[in-house]
Amino acid sequence: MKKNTFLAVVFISAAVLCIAAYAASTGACPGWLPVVAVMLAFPTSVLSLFLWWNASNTKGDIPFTGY
Amino acid sequence: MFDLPVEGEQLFVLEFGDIVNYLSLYTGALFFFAVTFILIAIIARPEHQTDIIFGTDAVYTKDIKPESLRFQRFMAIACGLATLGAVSSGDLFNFTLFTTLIGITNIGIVAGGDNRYVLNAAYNYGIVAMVATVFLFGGAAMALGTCGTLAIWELAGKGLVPLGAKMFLVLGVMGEGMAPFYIAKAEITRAPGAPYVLMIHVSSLLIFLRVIEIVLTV
Amino acid sequence: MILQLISAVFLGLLFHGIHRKVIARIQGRPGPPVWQEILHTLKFSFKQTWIPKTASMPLYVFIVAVSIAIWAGGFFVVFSGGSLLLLFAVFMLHKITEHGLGLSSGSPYGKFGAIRSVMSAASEIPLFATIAGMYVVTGSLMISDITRYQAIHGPLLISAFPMAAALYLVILSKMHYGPFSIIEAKEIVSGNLTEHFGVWRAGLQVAYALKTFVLLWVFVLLFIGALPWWLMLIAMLLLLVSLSFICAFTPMLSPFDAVAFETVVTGILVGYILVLGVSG
Repeated sequence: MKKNTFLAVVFISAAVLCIAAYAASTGACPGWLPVVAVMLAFPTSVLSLFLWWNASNTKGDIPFTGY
Repeated sequence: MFDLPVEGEQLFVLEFGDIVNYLSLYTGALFFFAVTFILIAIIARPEHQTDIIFGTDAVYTKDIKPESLRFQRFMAIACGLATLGAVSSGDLFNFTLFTTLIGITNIGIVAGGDNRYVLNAAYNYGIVAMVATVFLFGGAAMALGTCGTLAIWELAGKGLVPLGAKMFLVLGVMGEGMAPFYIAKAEITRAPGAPYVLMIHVSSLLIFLRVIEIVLTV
Repeated sequence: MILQLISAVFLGLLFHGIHRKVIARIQGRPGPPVWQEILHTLKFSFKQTWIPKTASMPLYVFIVAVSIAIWAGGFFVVFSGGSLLLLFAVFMLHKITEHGLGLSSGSPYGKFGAIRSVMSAASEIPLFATIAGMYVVTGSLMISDITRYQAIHGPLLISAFPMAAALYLVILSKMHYGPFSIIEAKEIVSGNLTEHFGVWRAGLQVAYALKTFVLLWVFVLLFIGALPWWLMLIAMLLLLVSLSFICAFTPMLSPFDAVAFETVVTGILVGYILVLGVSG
């Protein structure tokens, strides 16, 4: 995937995290729903954030040296 | 709706007469986890195992085609569906039935490998799983004999199910859930198919989790 | 909610750093700075990352996300004073991710780590199940109810000491460089973590930091009681230092000895809970 795609995923999942935190603080929905949203969005945002700032290092071919 | 301080709030109820299937926060989490691993078993490709030629630096990679593991994948998906049944059923007899089904499909996943040692492990596990069904159905029968019903909904919080029946249920699940140890034995001989093998682990641990909930509830 | 989760990640990484520092000081080494594990995580996240050709996709990547997700869930279970049974489930699912991490790459080292994880599950999981004995003592499995019980009856550390010992052993078995951390022993390179490098390893660092934080937190909540946040952090730190002392003084056990030791302790505890259940 391209660097911009990762950035978009970071923004979307961060937005989900913010909405979940806001919904939990206002008590707009049952308590477990924001937790499920955070459980889905938190790993996505962490991994895509890492992949985003990593992506510039990995342009071009990587010689396959393993195995 | 029963409200015990064991497993969190009730989320969903599906009534079939006196048998009430339910998802609480706890069993709902287990259900969700089983669904994700079924999806993984459906879409994931098997890994290519690398082996080291002993005493040298050389490695070689086995070429494993997804087609050769078709039976294992089918069994893994069936096992996942049986797990869904076991974590969501609200009836002791249905729970034991689904648990037995998990045992059978686990034998299928292990027996999918065409290695002599893997088949031997599947055979040994098969015997343990067969013996365990006696305890499972025995436990359910004892509960029915003493209480007159098998619906967890009815039995919850009353403490009517005798300790012997609960111990039989736990023993039965221990027998069925013994699969990871046999597959570990098979894995040492390099049985392929990580996403399917993982389903054995998922189903066994989830029925353990469910039986603890049942034993504390009824 | 999100702020607490992120601070828990950083505190967990800091705890890992302190753990390494304490072990090093006891063994007469200068040791890394305490923030080393935070730097490690950042370092891994900047490393070149790809997916091994032999790996089972998408399981290889997915299992890292599951590791983070379950411990984020575990964090909120403790945070909201939810069911202890749910935390037990998180611990079980952690065993599944450990197994999956090792299996997904196709590496023989990863696979051996995964097999050791299955074998040690036989002894760790019954140990955690003795927490069900809390139900016998307090009549509830909700963490909020248990802390309330302690506010009235005093800390369970004294009245339910064997159960505290069981959970202590569970946490010890999950610590790095401990006597029971056979799944990442150096004779199998890094065990089930061997093939997860770069970003994937950084993700696992995040998950394990959350795991350490949650396990230390729940121990203090269950056996000492609810404390103000700064006192809670000090209690968690003291608990961690006591674990680090044990890790520094004991060599890693062989897989057989590790499982045998934990099984014996589980046997004693099951006897204790049966006596407690029948008499009390």
